Amino acid sequence: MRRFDSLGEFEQAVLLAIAHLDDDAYGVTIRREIESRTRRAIAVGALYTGLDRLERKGYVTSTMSAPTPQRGGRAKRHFKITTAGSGALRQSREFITKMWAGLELEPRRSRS
Amino acid sequence: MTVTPPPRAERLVGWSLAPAERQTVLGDLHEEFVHLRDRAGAATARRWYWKQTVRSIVPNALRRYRNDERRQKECHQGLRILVLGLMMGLMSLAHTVTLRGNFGAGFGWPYFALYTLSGTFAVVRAIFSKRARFFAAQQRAQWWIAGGLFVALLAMSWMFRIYLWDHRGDEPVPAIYWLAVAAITAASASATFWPWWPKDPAPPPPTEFFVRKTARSDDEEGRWMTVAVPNTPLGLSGLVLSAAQGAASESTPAIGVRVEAPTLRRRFSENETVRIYAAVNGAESGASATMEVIDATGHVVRALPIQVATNGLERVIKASDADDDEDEPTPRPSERFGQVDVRPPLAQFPPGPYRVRLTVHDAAHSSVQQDGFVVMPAANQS
Repeated sequence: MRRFDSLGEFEQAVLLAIAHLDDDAYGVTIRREIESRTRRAIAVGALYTGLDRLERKGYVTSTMSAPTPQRGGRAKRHFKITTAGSGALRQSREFITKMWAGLELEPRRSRS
Repeated sequence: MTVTPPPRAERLVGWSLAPAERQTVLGDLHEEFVHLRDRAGAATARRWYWKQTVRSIVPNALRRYRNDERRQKECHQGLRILVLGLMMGLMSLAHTVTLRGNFGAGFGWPYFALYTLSGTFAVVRAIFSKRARFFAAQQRAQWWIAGGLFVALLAMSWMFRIYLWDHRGDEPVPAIYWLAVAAITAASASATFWPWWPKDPAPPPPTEFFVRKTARSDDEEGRWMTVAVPNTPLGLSGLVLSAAQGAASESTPAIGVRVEAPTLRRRFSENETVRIYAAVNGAESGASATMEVIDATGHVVRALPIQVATNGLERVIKASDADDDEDEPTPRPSERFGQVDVRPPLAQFPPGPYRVRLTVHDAAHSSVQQDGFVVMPAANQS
């Protein structure tokens, strides 16, 4: 079985957001998707750094769309998850599942 | 009055981004700004934009550096010079402590200063300069300066050694020390200035061209319009729509036809004539174009073969840092670019929404751009 580069937490979040959004995955929607699901604020610069890294690894591809007035006449860059990207995501999930197997952590009791 | 993103913040973000990313990231910020402005007010949107600017500058700059091999090479070169300067400084320190006991007596100090200054300069220039390119003449000049300085310092220090021996009766400095100094200095000078300097690396190919169309107006003044054309085989710019003046025509007009101001308006009266314009990259290979007007049901209601003209354009390249080089001659537009310019009268379309699809193709490639517009009855135009 092919081994993929391991994914960081943020990279997984970005890939999963792209997978959720399907054809509508571009900077703004990816950021909103992650923020709405994780309640964590994401800087645009950090998001594009993650996307750049994923594209270098071959886990996503991007295409440009036509400029729109809502964006000040600027084009969107749409992202799509590749087969390698799906494989890396599956591998990350399996890894975590294996590590959690047979483990039940009790919530820590607070001292009163 | 429409509130737009803070221009200073926009400039700052644009500066930190690589040219290829500028359009998409600034577009994302603009879209989010408009969304926030409509929902929470202009002040909140402006605050958000500034916050994003401050938080994004460092990641943007790092990403730009990581994706730019030329900057990396020059930065590494600067770091190497800094390390050599540090070595010189340590050597002088050892000299001072072990042999003279007199701070600053070692002749490595000028080298330390020279290397530290030039190394810092090289690193700063590699990161910030748009034209961080090293030319062969500069390279040669630095080599001669370093060589000359090396010989002069060696001669001076030798004379100083003789003077100390003859006049003060000091113990001569061991010859092995001079030999080590000369060897390290020669190695560092040659390693620093030759042959590791990048030899005028070829600039990366531009991701897009800015193509300028020029024309005369009625008052004989020059008018122009600039569009971005992707640097792909048969790249097609976005469609520029405007309300045309003058007679309607279904073919590309000759040079000198007035350029109308592009409009974001997509509602046109049936009495109007819409002008659809696009620039084509690679038109010299005999490209042809087809414009289709598609109605709301998806049926093509009009299909026109359009001539791709290769005149009336003035090309301007400005797609990556390296392309700002003023020494580079500007190629003639007719070598490569063409334009499609059509002005279909709207009277032939019943009121309703339409999509215009422009396809350019040659034997091997094709490109498509589309946009929408609404034809309004003459009385209801808004």
